[in-house]
Amino acid sequence: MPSKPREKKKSAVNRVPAVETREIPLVGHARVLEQLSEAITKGRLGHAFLFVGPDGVGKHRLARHIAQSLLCERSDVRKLQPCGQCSSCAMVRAGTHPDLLQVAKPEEKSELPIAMIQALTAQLSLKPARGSRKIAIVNNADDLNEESANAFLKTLEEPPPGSLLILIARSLESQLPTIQSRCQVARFFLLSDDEVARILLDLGKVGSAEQARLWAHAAQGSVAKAIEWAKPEWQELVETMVESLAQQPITSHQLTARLLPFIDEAGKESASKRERARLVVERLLGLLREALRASCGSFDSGEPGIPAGRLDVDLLADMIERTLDTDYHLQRMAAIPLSIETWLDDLARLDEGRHLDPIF
Amino acid sequence: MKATCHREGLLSAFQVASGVVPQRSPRPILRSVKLVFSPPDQATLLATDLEIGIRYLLSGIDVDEAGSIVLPVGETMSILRELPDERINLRAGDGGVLIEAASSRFELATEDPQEFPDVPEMGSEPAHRTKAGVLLGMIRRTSFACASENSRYALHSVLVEFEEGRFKFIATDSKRLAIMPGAVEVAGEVPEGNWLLPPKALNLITRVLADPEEEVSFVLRDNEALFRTGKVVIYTRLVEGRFPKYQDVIPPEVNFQIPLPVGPFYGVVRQSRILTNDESRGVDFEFAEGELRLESRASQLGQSEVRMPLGYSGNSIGVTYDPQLLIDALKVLDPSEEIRLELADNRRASVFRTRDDYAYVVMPLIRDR
Repeated sequence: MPSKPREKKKSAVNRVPAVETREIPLVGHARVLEQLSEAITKGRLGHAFLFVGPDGVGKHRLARHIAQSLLCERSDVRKLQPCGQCSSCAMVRAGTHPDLLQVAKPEEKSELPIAMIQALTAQLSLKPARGSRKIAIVNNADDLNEESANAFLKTLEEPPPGSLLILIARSLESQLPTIQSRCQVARFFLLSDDEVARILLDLGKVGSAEQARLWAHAAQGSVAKAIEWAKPEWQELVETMVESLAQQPITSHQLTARLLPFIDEAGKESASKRERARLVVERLLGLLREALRASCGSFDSGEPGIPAGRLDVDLLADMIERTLDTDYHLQRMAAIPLSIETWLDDLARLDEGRHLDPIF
Repeated sequence: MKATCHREGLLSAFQVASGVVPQRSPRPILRSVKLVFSPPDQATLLATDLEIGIRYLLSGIDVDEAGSIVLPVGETMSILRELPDERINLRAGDGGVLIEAASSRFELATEDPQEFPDVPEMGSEPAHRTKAGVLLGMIRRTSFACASENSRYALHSVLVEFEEGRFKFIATDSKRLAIMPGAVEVAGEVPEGNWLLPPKALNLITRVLADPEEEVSFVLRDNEALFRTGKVVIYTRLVEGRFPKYQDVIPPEVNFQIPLPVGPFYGVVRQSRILTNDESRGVDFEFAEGELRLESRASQLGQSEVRMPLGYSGNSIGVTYDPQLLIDALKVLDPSEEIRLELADNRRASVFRTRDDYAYVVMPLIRDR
């Protein structure tokens, strides 16, 4: 019977990255795959891994691939190439496999609550349902608070037989040393533009190879960002940004008035707003970076951008530095409207040739 | 897939299944049940929360075309409840399932049945057999003694063991221990092993079994256990880990044997619990010739003394217990029953035994006397 996805309901229990119904080929991260496949071949697969790397490069995708390979009923585990046909594979894809557990930070929270970790360890304490393995994927491991991390330590150190735990995180530094020391670390790096473009095409997110290349370049190695930035609302926003920055004086007030509602639309929760705000900052940073490259006579992506020669190299460097500061402020929970407003005002001031008051 | 079923029959199957299906889940398919239709007249309803599961056999269905469908529990139950019709049609259509009655038509968007997590079946393997009443009694007298969810996971379970002609349920949270045997017809050799059942599964069994005379057959596999009665099969995954060596806590010698009538004893223990609090939870039990005296004392609250006549004629002994631990067990015993308290001394574990071989072991609180 053909299936039709039901309307997505927001669940308070859990937020797990969207289900992929189609099998798309795995792109990139050959080194991590090699490392894992070698460990499996030698029968020395560790019981806990920490996948560390930037957002949107496929850490979760790869973790699920590993899980599917280990749970697949037909193919040889060592090849890490699930058959995609058996009922285990179907259940892994649908997110219903009883031996694949996943937790992720709920959208409205800024931390991964202890209750979710307790539920996960309780489920891991059951014997496997279908085969001999149980796999747990912990997304957003950066957001484990101390309580949740400690609740997890015992399981992480000595998981029940047949378990494999995969923690997914942005940075190694944000992990408690006690967690770090119990995991094998696999590092993920940003994808190349070609790789991102290929994934965009595989996913059917873009119409042409040309567009795929354009967004891949703008996204700087992250598929998630490329997908986000290919959306019409982001394209419109970029046009406004370019318009504002293209002339002197920079119309910082208008731009603020345009950006703040856009950030507000991200959701009710401040966590999602903050995420959107950081993306906005990053998007504008991309434009400045592109302008810097153009003024050095480097690669021209063909993307609409700040006219070449409008801002000189020194000025761009200062503006980029101020923008990076803003990202840091947002990351450290500074008020969003305040951060955005002062940032854009400061860019305008820099453009007028003034110096900035030191902010630290 | 195409079939006609009896509405009420389907509804009662859904009611049983809805006890298993989680109310909240990130995946709609996990809030659903699966129905497998097999000609000429049967269907099996499958429900699971990935830890426990149920297979419910429905008969008297006109199956025109075999196949499987997945139905969301909440909506389907509401539909079944609201429809006045005696019989309804189910049909898998494009992208959904059609539920049709004389003057109503519902089209439910549903999921791919292949994605539904499987609920294992009881095969043709030999199964042990017991009576529902025996099993229910064993569950009732042990499952309350399990440790809470967030402790060592092997303790959050009930251990199953076999001996000649009997099987036993054992549960402990390390402060007390409950052991209840029951008669069983073992299939083949007396099995040896260590099976840990999660309390959730025992709860489900309690809800599904009604008639104590009903026969229950069950199999214990390496990773799972299955219980079958009539048209229902209950599936549960087993808990990992090692159950503690519980036999070691029972002292080998018995120096005091005190008979206790359950009803009156339960009454005085409840009285003596009133004036206790978290800091002074202990109640002093003074077993003497002809009389039991209970004393409790709690700062800020006050103190109590409760007496009860006792058919005991040995040496006196004073022991301190947490009254809640006794109440938990006395609650599930028949008030007209007489139990026997066996003690080595007042520092080692005390054992309450019933005539039907139920043993409830409590660690006394140590207090200087």
